[in-house]
Amino acid sequence: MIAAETDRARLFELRIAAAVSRLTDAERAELQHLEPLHPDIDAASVAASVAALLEAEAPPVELPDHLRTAIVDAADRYFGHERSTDDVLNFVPRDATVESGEVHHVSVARGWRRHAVAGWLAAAAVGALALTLWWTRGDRPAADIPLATNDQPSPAQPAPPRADAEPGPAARPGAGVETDAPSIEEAARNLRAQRFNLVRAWRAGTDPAGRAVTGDVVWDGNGQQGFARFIGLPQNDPTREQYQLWIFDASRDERFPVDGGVFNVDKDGTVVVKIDPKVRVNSPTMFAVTVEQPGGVVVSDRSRLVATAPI
Amino acid sequence: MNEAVEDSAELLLPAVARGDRLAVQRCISRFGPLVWGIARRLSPSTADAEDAVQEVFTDVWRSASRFDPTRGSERVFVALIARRRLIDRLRSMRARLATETAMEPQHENVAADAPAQELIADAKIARIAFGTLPTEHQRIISLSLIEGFSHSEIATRTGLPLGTVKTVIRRGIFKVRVALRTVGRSTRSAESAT
Repeated sequence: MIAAETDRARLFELRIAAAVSRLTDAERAELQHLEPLHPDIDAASVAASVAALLEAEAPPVELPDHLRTAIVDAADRYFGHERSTDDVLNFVPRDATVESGEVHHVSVARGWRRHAVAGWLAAAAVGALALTLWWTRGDRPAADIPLATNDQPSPAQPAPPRADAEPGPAARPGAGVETDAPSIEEAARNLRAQRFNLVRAWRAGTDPAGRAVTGDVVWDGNGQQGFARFIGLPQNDPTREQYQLWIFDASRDERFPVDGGVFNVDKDGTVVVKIDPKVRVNSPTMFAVTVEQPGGVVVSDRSRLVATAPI
Repeated sequence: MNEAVEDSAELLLPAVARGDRLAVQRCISRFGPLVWGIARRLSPSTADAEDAVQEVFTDVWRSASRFDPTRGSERVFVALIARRRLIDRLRSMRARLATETAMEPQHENVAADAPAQELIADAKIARIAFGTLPTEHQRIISLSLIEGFSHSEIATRTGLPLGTVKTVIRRGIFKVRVALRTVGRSTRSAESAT
């Protein structure tokens, strides 16, 4: 009797082990020996119990739109499916924000990154060292160049443009945001017209505000425009601070990235920003977001780096 | 359509194994939130979780032909593939950094962006059953199933005998299994009575 109970317990342990890992040959042999003796300790019910516990501890979360697109893209590559850009654009995501038509779809997600752990600097393929220097406070021109609003031209470039921001459902235009921006529907149509857009995912910067940021940036080099979608950014008070987007260009001095404009985030935490720089961006190497004073700055002191999208 | 209903609707993995593109896309829609939730819970950062999700789905495509419906549901199959991949990544990171504390998953990320979906019925039952266990037992089971520590590693961390660790894990999961069976049986009885 005791031996039978011991066997049952052992079989249960082996079932658990089989569900979560690979059994050794000895364990597999032991399992094969025990399972006919206790058919009620079946593999399916133990695996279901483990999976239910796992799911209880790690509840499902809606896939971000950019991640869904990347998975579909990777799946197509894996199975060798041919597809058009429209296939990607027409793939209906389940993300509620996207379903409401407020967020653009990304285009063909080429170059999905594979090296996240190394961090944003290590992942930046071009100009990594220079960017490090730019973001490293000890080697930058900001000490010589006081913070200024965007009404003042920077030493390296003309006065930066404002971003056209399309806030989330409950958002309102903030300072520095043009109100005659095209609708997101129009923006999505524009994106569809671009067949070779560059798409990169946002990753958290060094500032805690960016800890949960996801989303993507889509850049059309020919059209010199793009869209940045952010999910999970904290709401800002436009009277105290604003988010500012930057574009690093390999053809420019890395100390002076192109200003992509300022934008606000409401309590919804989701925003789509149209990037329409007045300065030509020849070869973008990274997009970045900082928190700055209202209206933005010409040169950031990069004390609050919220998000980056290395290329 | 909720996940539970979807899960019982039709099998997708056999078609995925054949490379059916529609099935692949439906598989991503059906199980994407499940995998993303696990990835976020078991990853040190959102960026790492995004990479992990890609790898999990590649594993799913590769393993789809081995799915056997008599040994469990597709949801269980995918969840366990996801866990295995995530635990492998966690262990690899721990080994690389050689400092486990630095690589503990950042659980604060879990609820930070998109809202969690409602749990399927089995997970709700599991959560209730799990909640009735002593806190220390919950911790031990979590170290095993969620954090991916081996029994001997857990024994070292907790100072408990190895046999005790094994017993706690076995009994905890057994309790969940009993709850799933009991409630499942009750549900079926109620359905057949109506």
